[in-house]
Amino acid sequence: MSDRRALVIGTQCASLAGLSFLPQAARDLHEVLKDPALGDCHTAQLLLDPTVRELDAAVEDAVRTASDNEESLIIAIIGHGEYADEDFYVMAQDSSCPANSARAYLLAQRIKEAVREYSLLDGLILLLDTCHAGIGAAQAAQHWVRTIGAAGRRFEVLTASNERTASGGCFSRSLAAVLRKGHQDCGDRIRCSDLKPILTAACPHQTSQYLSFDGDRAVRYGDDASWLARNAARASSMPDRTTSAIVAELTRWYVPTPAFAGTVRRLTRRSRCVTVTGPGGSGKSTLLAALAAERLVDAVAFPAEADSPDLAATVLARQLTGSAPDAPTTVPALENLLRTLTGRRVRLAIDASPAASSIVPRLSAGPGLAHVQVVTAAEHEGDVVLGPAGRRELADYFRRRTVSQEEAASLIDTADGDWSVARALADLALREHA
Amino acid sequence: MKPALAQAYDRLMDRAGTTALLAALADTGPGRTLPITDLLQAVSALGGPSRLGPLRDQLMALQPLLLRMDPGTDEEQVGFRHPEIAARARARRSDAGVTTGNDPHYAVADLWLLLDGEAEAGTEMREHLEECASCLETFAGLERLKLKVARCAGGEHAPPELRTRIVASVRQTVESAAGPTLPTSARRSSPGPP
Repeated sequence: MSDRRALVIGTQCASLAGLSFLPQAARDLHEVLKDPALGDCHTAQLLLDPTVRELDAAVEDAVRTASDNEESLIIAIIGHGEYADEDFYVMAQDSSCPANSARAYLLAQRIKEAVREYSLLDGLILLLDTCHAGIGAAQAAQHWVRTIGAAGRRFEVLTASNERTASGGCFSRSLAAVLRKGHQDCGDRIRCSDLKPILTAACPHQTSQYLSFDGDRAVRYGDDASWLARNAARASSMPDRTTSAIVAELTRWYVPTPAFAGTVRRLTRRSRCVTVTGPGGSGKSTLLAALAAERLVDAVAFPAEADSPDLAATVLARQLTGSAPDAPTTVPALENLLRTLTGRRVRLAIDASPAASSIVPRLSAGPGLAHVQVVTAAEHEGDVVLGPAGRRELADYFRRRTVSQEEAASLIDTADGDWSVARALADLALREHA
Repeated sequence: MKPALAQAYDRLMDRAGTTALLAALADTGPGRTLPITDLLQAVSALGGPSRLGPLRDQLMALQPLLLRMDPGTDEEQVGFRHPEIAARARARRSDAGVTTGNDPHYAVADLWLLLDGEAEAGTEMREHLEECASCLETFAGLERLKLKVARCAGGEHAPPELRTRIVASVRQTVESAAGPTLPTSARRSSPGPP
């Protein structure tokens, strides 16, 4: 289960000018997608210069096989594109102009038919680098959203849009390079939604277009499960997957606030315990996550309501020891470990929870732990007070979420200074007004 | 919870066909996650998707509400991203219930409420359970499922045999309870809000 399959097609067209970047661009993309450390596609097929019939058969076979095995499928097509009215065609080796469905590959229609017939795909990603590909994406949106939406399936399209006949393969070359080297602006995995701004910057003469469908409607956010490659530039430093995921989630669109700077100042003044305080939705947990993301603390824990102090201690100890097999699993054992880490400051962050109430006083005032600093959160009586989010901060947040200024104006009023409400409103806006 | 937040969460949860998924996730507890394979079994037992692709379609539909670790892999773990979202999901289950027409048995959603200690007519329901084998079986199945979910969410993994036995038992219990008495539509959509 959860296998990944890729089909990379690079095609010249005998009746059109040769594309100098082929077949290398297709080979590079194929290599990175099949690399177990990056794209991790267990099956990655490379198809070069196919005829229309061969291209059509390869796509249908890939969709059918992926559906039979319930796999994720990535289809990448690099070559010439032509359009007639609203119909977009990929020009195969034996295609000729004017394009029609007999002598060129009518992309959206044929993939729509394949997905409709073979419907157990675990996600579909289409990467399209052809001239006029933007037309293809728009057409894909028109043609596919109804069919796949009705079937309740999800898919994503990332294209290089260029109305010139020679794009230079910038999109595919840049895509392969980013997937191979990774990118600091992406999370642990690189997704189509991350790539749009990166590829737009890398290829200023092309406009990258990204479409995402959640199985029912077009949305302005990507599918977390539809990724292209592991991010080579962002190997997670946290051995604890849960904590790592929480930190990534909380800091995804983080807007730094004055409270963040205030907390850092208190830490540099060597306060043994810094308590961040504010009402629910004021961003206490996010501030702690931001400290961890910026590596300003050595370990962070977000204990659940029912988690014991020992479990919180285990989470912290795993991070401090790099998940050593003999890492402490109790609060006293964590205290002992901390006593051995002398000669430097050890900074811990522990989110508000019953476990924190028990563990924080011990770690921040215990004997032999003067070198330990703890940042924690509470609704009342703290050192750093988080007030309501300001209008400018909220505007910055909605901009980061790609909510339009017009929409954001009313959402800022509704959010009323509450980050949780702002987050939920942005999520709704991105889902319902795509 | 602020009304604006509750309203936004409700709108994000209002996705057709995701009742079983929301119900399964609601019981993972705040800050907890479930392995995707266990989530699939739990959701399937509750009448939701039984295949991974369709389950992940639903996860994408609800993605703004979720914390997903290693998404798209066999190691994927899923939970609500904030305790208040889990609380809202449980509250919606409490508010909604699944209608069963003139059926004399309690709806699965009502039994979830009883299990959570949130049923208003708890005493009356317990009296009914003492007399009704069908509802008692359903209740027991839900209880086992809840325990299993809690155990998985806590990071402990039940032995495969136990997992298989529990899931089979839950499925059989739910189906047998619903089969002769509940309309098909109720069976498919229970438990939780319609």
